[in-house]
Amino acid sequence: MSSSQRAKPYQSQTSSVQAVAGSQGQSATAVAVGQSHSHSAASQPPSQPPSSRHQYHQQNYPYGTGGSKPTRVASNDFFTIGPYRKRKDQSRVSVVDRYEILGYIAAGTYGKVYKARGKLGSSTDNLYAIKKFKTETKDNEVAHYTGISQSAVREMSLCKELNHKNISKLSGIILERKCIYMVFEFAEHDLLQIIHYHSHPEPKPIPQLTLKSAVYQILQGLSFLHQNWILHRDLKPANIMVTSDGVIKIGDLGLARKFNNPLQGLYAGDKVVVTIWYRAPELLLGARHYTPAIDMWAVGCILAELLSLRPLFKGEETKMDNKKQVPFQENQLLKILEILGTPTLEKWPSLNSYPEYPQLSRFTLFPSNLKAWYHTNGGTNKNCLKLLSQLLEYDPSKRINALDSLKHPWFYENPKPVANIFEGSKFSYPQRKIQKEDIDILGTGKGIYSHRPNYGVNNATKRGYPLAASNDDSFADMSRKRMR
Amino acid sequence: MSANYWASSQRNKWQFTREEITEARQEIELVERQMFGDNPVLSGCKYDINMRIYLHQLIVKLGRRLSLRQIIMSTAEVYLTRFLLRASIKEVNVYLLVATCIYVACKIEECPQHIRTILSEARNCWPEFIPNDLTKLAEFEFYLIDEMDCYLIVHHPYNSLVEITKTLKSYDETSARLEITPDELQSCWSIINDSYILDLHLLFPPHIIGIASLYLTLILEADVSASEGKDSTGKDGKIESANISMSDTKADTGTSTYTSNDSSTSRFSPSRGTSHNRNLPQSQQLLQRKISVSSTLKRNLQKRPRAGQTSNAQFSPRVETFLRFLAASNINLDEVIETVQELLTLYDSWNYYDELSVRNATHSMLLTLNSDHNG
Repeated sequence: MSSSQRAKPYQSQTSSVQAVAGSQGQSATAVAVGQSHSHSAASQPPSQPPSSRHQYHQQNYPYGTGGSKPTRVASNDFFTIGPYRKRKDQSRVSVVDRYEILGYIAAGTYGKVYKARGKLGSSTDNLYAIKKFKTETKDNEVAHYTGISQSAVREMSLCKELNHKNISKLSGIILERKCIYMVFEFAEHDLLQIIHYHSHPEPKPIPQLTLKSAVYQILQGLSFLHQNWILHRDLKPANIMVTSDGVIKIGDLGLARKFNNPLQGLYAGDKVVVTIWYRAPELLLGARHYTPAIDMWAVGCILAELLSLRPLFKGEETKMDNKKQVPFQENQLLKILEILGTPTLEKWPSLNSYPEYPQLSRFTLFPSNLKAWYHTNGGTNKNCLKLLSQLLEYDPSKRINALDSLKHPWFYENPKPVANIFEGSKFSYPQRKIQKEDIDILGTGKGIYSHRPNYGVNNATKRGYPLAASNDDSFADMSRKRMR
Repeated sequence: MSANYWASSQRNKWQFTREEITEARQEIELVERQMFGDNPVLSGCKYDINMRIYLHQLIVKLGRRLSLRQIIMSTAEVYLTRFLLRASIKEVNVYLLVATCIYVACKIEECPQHIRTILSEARNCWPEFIPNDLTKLAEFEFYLIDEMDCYLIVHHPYNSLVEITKTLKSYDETSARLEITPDELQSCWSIINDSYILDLHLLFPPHIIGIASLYLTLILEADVSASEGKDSTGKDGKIESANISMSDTKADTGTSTYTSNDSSTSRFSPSRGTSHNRNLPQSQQLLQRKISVSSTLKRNLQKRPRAGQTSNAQFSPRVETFLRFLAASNINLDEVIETVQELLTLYDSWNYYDELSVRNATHSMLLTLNSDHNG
């Protein structure tokens, strides 16, 4: 017992580190280890023959068996969590025991989303969307544990804290066999699908009330996120769900993060945020620090897209070059300038402080065309145009915030936003398409878990579908997409 | 909710009564008995105050190696106490547990470290006990997150402390206004850092722990100035050198030279600005007076003095001001008292802390577990 330890009560971190470092040098460790070994050997249960016990111990002793020159390095199979894992796995209920997988809805870089029905509840509409995070397996034979991705950790931790009627409701998370399953309440539609329905085969505008109510509810959900110091950072029609009773649910918090007291700058964490078409100008100009205003810009883009049924700023993304430097998105900025006009220092005083400001000189000057764009795309309401221009305000410090936007005159004039965005609408949207051939959510088709042959593959074989044929291929596809 | 503690999972899912904690510990003991019977080596290792201090120091050690910010280490410590409320130290490798808690805490505090970095630093710290296998750390991450039921966002007292000091500073009335010096704030930080050794973060909201740290700091200082005569007035000017940073990287290193309990008063000098040994004498004094302090604290808080009342001559004006603030607030004073008492008990126990024996017991345990479960 070193005196430095004894002296330590009140001093915190500093002293303890110092003390530990001081007293725990190599020699001290060696002594401790030596002692503990003899101690454990001496105090073995008398029922066991001492000699065999000792031998056994030596074989598994991490310092080699010689005893004269210990290597002092743990072997790769050194004790980790064996007894604990065994205890926990005994009481685990599999995702396939809790949910009947109906098919898969979507696939992305993160993994796959399945539609499922709860087996445990009694009600008939207990439908769920189960998001299975892709595990990064190098070879297809054995699934190794790898660290959980930052995106999965964010989404899990944030969804667990959040509870708001306009945020996708998490009903549970299942960690099973090296995979993460996030179980959300099922939403039948999303804005991308609704926009597509209205634009194909021939354009038919989204009803005013649906449009206004949808935007209002997005802003309600977003306002809740921002009040909780959370930036969404990936708002786009595909991430805005709508339930069959017409309630907006903001989904996919995989890029979301808290922004109060960040230990590390937002830019340092993620160099590129927000899908390109919905990316705010300050981000395109290389902002290192940004604010909830980036989400408001995306809402502006979504509002315009609901009006015109086409992405407002449909720029072409400049791909990352090999140096992993973030490229300047010239074409995307051009699309914005063409409609909103060239920003000026007069209207956006901090403009010249952005890293990519010099790039602006590459563009010719454009006048503001938003009003013309609005009228040619069938917009008639003045207040709606006003909100749109406040959401698409260049200067992020002047852009309307979520709380203020909820008090916008547009929402106070008739027709006022309603709880069911489909209220009074003559349209009925198709159900989400599901791929029924792949319901092997556990990915057991390849016999990875051959010791549990009935694990999840029953339904597939019963219906005569091939066993998860596309599973690994689709993942390979996705990772290629991500590489590009 | 992530911004509001009162609606957070920390409050609603991970805050318990003492009875619930006791019950959980009994369940773990039951698991231990079922798992290991009465293996003498294993029964020598307990999750007691010594083990807690030891684990705390392991986190600090690895955290320092990785140059992590204090808040990440604090989050890791909360994960550790949460995990050990539902699992036994005897069914896992505690060194790997420490590394895993830090690994997850880095992610949740948005300072992700590569799993390889964490593993190699952990191996540098404890080569005999950390296997060189990334998948082991990744596997533990999974089980750790699962055991916490995926509730990962943690609220700490540091922000509450800052808010409270702002409030105290903002009062117009001189009798109510209290300026907390950087030195005092540093002392609060240290106390908060130590608070993670205990179950406090499973029991109380962060602001309670923040207030307890401030209370202890002020009481302590009152004691010091009382023992020194009238030094308290000129003091504030001398301590501008104290640095308060979330990272703590520049904090002092003088304590290893500090040798015995008796020398505390003689080593103490009024020029407290020199960073060496700044807090130690205070703590020693504190320990000597702990019983009187905690009982008078209780008396005082329960009496809830009205504003303007300066009845108790035992406290300095600053402490009086703070007590008036507490009395007028809606803060749960019973919880503050409990926290203060637990902290005092901790510092008392720390006097008898014997690192070598805890370490030996831990190592024996791990070697036994290794031979029993990996054979």
